Amino acid sequence: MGPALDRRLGASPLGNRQLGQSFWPDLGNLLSAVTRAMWITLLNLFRKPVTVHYPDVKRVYPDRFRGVLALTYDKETAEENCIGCRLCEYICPPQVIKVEMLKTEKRNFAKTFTLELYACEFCELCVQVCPTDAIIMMKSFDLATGDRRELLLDKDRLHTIGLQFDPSWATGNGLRDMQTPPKAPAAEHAKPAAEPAKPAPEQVKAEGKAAKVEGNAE
Amino acid sequence: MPSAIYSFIVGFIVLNAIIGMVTYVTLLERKFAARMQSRIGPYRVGPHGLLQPIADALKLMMKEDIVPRLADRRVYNLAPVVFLIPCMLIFATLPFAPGLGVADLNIGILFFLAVSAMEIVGLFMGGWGSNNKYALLSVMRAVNQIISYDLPFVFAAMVPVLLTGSLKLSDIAAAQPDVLHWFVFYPVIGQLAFVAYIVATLAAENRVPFDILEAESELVAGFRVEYSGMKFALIQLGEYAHVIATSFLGALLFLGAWDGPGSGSSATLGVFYFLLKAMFVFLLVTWIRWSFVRIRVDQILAISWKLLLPATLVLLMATAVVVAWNGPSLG
Repeated sequence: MGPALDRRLGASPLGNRQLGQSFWPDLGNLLSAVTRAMWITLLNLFRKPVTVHYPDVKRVYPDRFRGVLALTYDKETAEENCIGCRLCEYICPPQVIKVEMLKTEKRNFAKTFTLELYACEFCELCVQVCPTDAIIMMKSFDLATGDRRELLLDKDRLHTIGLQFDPSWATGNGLRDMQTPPKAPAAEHAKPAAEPAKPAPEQVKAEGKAAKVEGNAE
Repeated sequence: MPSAIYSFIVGFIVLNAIIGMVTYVTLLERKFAARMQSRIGPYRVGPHGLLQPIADALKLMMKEDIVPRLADRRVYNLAPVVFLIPCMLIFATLPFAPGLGVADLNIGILFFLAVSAMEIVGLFMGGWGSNNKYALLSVMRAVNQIISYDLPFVFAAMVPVLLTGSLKLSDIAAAQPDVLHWFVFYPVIGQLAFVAYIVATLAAENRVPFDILEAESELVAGFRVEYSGMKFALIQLGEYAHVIATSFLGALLFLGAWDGPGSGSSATLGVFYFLLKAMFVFLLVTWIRWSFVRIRVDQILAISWKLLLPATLVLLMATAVVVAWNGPSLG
């Protein structure tokens, strides 16, 4: 055991010395500990409180905050982004999304889109699979309501929420782009992965020998 | 006016003032504690949470009063009252300004110390009558602790008595006519006695770091775990009244009572200064409370019997020597 570990194990809140050695050092330790503890609380007393008055004042959301789900419009054409492909419905683990597809000539739409937010587990899988960035997460956690039925979100509600809050950083296409490995060095990646498998048994043997030698020495 | 009626009226006023003070002292403590932890504390009820104590009191009044099925009913119901009476009674001897108090006894401090130690009877009744293992363990610890700490408490409080040469509280206050003669500024002896008084006060009031009798992690809420509603409120009231009373006594013994600029001419100003000093002592105790963790039972006993008791005894003897050397009074 090194001296660093010794110190860590032996460290007492009263400093490096343990209590119960002799009277005067103990008393000195006690007094210094008392002074330090009270000094810290005194400093805190004159600091500004860190509390944020939540409903009145809102903390700035972090960049990657993922909150309530919403549907989006295309900003240029003002068309809904959702094409009713039902990928989100298939991937949803608690199965809270229900989509009906509406087939038209040019592109498809969602005829109905319901999301049972009271059972949603905010896993973000629906956002990750969405091919058109139609469903995204918003920067808001104000989901409390007095009536459970208000958490059954239909298409209109989801669109409203999309206009109401700031969108989160993550969109389906953005996330997929991030996770796609770069194409050029993809072939090189395969080789080094296979190599470290060979020397492993030798290392184990060497370590085993070393352990035996140590055991003999003791 | 007959003196009995006078005492009755003054007693009535003091009693109600204490109850009003207790409710607002809880707010003071909560705000103060919050700031020490970088919080704000009660804020929503009224401006800056000023109506919070009233809301709390209303809540306690409306709570259901539950008596455990296997409790000793009479003892259980009587305990809060028995606990509250000594805590209120100790205010009787406190003079709040020259000649202004319920009864300025010539053995005032003796009465104060004796009656304030009596609260343990109500405490033990509550813990025993609840028929609850946590409550019983809690009061056992309480008795243990009060026996250990009342001696240093009395010895520390005796130092100003020796310096003054009187047990009468108004005499002790009169012996500290200006800031330089406050007993806390008496060389060496005064400071040590004040520290000993504060530590013993913490222990006698069962406040952190000496709160083993209501150690939440071990004993739920200690001896009042079975109490609810108004009975719980009475116990809380008694505890805070006791804390305030010892704060007043500390201010009187060491901080010159009602002495302050302009207090000689105006009694109202004197009362105000006294209140201010008592609140200072209360905040000092609160400050200690929110700075430390709870210490173990054996450590509590060791601090009392191995450190505080010998120290206060030596201090008392040293004071006696000093007084014999200098003459009885400073004034």
